[in-house]
Amino acid sequence: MMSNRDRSIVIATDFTEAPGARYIADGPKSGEEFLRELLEPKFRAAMEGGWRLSVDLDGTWGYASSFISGAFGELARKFGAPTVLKHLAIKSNEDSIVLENVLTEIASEGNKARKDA
Amino acid sequence: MRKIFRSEAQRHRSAKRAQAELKARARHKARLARRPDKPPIQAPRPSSSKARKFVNVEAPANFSLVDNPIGVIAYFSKVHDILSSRRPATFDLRAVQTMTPDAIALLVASVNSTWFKKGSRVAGNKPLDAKAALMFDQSGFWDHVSSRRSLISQGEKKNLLLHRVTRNKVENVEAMNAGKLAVSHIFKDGRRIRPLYEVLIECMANTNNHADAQGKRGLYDWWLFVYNDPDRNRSVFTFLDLGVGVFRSLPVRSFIRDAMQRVGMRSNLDLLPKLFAGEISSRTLQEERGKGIPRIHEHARGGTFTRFVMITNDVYTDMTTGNSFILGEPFHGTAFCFDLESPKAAAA
Repeated sequence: MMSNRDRSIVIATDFTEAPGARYIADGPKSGEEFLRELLEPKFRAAMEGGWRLSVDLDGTWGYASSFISGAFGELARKFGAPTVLKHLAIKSNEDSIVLENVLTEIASEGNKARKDA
Repeated sequence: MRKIFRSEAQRHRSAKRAQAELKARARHKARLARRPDKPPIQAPRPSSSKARKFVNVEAPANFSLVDNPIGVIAYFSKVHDILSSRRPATFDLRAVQTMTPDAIALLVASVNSTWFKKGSRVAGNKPLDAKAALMFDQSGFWDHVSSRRSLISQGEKKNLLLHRVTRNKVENVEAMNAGKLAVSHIFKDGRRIRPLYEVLIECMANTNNHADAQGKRGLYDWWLFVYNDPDRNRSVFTFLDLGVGVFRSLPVRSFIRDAMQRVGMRSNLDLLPKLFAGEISSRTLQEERGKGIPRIHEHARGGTFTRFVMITNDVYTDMTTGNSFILGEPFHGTAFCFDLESPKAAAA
């Protein structure tokens, strides 16, 4: 039985309150690290189970554009924007701009992936 | 400036190295004595930079990169020229009347840069002006030069200026700690200021990815200084690297080449709007799509900061006001200088 905890990621508590840059090589707590360790495994489980993974952006010090791109953009490049948006519920009560940035990133990178394909 | 070792481990390593060198010299001497054909007496070596006299270079009275960029950049350029000609130089700060943290940051970064020093020696003194001297001492400058001086205790300078240098990485914890330090000074609480944190990470990523002309990552150190103004609810941030600068970085250079051919672009100032709009890197790069500086610009204009200056190559731009101009002498690197202030204090 899948618990609520398995169906959600709270970045501040599950990963870090101080997200870094894009690649693991850039330094600690990068978007790539987040993607590999948390986001992608849970997202795959959500796809297979047919449910939506909730990702809470609140409680951190902020997000660099490269972190967003390295995590959410890369996810969209891999799976395409429609699939990502179908199985991912992003939320932020603290910062509407970061929420918008993440959704824009998914949409633009997902579309790019479709064109490339 | 002489290096002193503070930790036990450093002293131990130094002592072991000295012992090994002594033994090696003794062995060499013994070998020479045993040889029947002793080597000829060597001619005296030409005078090294150690034997040369220090050239005194007097700093401008207004020692501020943000307020007197032309004077300060010319000053550092002059010292750099002297050091490049293998002569030792003295940063003579005695006549400095006004000093801002960004200039101290540049001084520390320069004296720690092998590119700047070119293997020559540097020395320095501090301002005679009492206020400037106090800031200089409290800045922690002495911790970052190999000097015998440490005029103020760690506790006293704890909340005045934080120096950090790291190599080749985006340091998320450093950015968070810098934010906490400023927030505790200005607001006396633990609030998170997202634009501040995001700007710091973008600056680090910018240095990490773009400070090298060939696009190699992580070649340059960055320096972050946070000065908590004791007279105001204000923290002054300086983030700088001595890399190639924004306009000589690989993506921007490629764009410039194209633009010059197509539209006859004349000056780096013409590029600023495109740089801030994120149009430059998106045309030239696949993954690193150059959202860093646009994001910094967005935050600089967003009302969080009372002043936000970028100095890079021959461009000075105050992102908050939009005031930009070409510098007579280029700055070798990129500096972001920005002030965070409580709204009440800013309005007063």
